[in-house]
Amino acid sequence: MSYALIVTPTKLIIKPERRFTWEQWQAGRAERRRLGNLVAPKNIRRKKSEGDEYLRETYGGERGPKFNKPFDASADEV
Amino acid sequence: MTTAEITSALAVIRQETDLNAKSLLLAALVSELFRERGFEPVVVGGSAIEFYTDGAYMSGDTDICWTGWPQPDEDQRDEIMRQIPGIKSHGGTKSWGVDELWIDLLGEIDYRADKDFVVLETQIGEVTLIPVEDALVGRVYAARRYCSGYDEKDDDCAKKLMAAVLSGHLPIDWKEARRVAACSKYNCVAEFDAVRREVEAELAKPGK
Repeated sequence: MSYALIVTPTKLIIKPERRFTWEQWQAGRAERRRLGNLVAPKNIRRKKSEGDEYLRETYGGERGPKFNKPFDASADEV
Repeated sequence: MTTAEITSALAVIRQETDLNAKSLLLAALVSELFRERGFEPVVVGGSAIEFYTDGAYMSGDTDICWTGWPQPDEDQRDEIMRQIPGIKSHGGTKSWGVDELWIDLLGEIDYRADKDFVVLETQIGEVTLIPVEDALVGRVYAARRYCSGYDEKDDDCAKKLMAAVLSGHLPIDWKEARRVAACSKYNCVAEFDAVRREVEAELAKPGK
């Protein structure tokens, strides 16, 4: 993946170990999700929250679209 | 970014069907547009935790706050966001809809960790996330100390984030995290330590 479009990097000081490329982030997602599923349910999206009317209007009564995680379809099991 | 670059970025976002990746790319586009005008956007809330954990927690919106000075006023927010073709607003200049996703532009970030933000790089630009320490302590507080008492969803969220950091998949400064937990805003060191113990015990069970 090209990063040619990055024209304005943050001016904040970021420690090297706290900076992740897209590839590094993608590579760790499935394992972080697997670990989380060991200690909590697979889908923990709230059923409601304050001021979520515009979300429900957008998503047919839900608060968000399907997760569509490519490595774990169980994220969309309710 | 030029209009052509914004349109190209939108094309990348529209092709993505994975909510977490799609939201991250949209946050990158919005962050880039604000950073090139001198602002420092930071993603907070449930979407930040989703980027950290893939815990299936986030809804359809991503919350963005600001750190440092200047911070965008309403006119600047409106002008910057309307560079995105096809964008719609809801509730003034707070909520913005792009390609079936929402971005909420909030106020100054309220955090206690010592500026250890995390940056995720995408092909569209960088996304700055609230420090892991603040995200984690904030969820523990919301789950176990907030006025309404126990909140199961926040507790699940805190546990998933705790599992990710305990396993070394996310960077954390434990001393700093406990300092944040001890601050007057949260005052939840006992609860923080309890969540850590519970998750450590769960992860240590045979077969896990």
